[in-house]
Amino acid sequence: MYTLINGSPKPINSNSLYFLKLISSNIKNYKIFELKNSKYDEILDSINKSDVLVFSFPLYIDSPTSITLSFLDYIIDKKIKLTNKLVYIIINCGFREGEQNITALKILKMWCEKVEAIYGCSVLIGAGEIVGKEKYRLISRKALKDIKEFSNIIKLKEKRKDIITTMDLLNNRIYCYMANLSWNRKGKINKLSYNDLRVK
Amino acid sequence: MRTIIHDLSTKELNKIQFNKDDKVISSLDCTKNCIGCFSCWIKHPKKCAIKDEFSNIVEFIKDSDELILISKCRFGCYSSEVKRVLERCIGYVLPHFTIRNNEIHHQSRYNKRLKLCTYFYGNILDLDKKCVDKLVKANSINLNASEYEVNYVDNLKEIKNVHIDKWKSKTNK
Repeated sequence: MYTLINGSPKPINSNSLYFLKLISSNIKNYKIFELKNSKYDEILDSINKSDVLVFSFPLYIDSPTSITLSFLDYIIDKKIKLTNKLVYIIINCGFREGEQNITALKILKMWCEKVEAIYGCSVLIGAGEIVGKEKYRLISRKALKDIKEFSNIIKLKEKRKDIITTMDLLNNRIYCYMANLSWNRKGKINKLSYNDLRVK
Repeated sequence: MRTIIHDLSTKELNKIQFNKDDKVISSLDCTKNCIGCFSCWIKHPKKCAIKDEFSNIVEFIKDSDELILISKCRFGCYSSEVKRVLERCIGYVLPHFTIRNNEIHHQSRYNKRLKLCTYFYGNILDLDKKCVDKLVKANSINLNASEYEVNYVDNLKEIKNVHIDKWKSKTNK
């Protein structure tokens, strides 16, 4: 059995949940938990019955979200061991480069060691706000293919090299330009000018 | 002025001496986490939408020369408590991106550059330290900090010594 854990604190439409759903369409016998409103006991109960765990979370401050850390801290503090359970990790960030998730991945790998779990594989996704939205699937083809491959690795319960991926087309410079226009547009919707957004 | 964010109990905290104008923030008082709503970027810039004593935390950091983090380390990261406060501070930078060190990062909201100083305590292995070093370095680049420091202490008594010595020497400069 698979326990899938969403570590995004967003109330609805989190990209992390979207990725978990893509994975779950390829496996059977799974349970998805929202860390933000689940009881740890229920998740631990499911983990006990599972041989595979999948964490999905967005990168906040170069590390896992605080609600993810709370859960990881809890398992360490309670001295719970997840011996021989396979752990897979999906991390997405707003930066274009999937590589920026590596600091958070290292933290999760350390945690796996401390709880005696087996680290399986991870997919590190850049441009999460693009790849994580169905409406942008046509400019996320490479990433979606990589996530599909990742779901096959999970299905086969294999250990593999980490996958680093991002949206198609744009280089860093053009990505920054487009993303900044989008932030300005979001400000405008709230009646805030470019200068209002940059208030000191 | 310095902003200090820590996860110490009152008893542990009392062992540490601070400067008079230090803003000392206990992460244990922060019970509500960031929900990724981006309000502090695009709705009411700098201000967190969650209404509690941490709503205006950016105002403290903006006036500080130094941001000091004191955190327990369990597996190469900040404690969830300290991290919870850090997430409430993202209004300190802008949502807009820039390219820094050949990577995409957030633009700075303020011209003044912070010094980021971190203290980690607990049973910390060398492998944990490798993780933490990378994390704090990444944080300092994202915050556009002028410099950063990572310190490890075996027990809290040592934090007290490290702090007082270092902080005194800084004050003398």
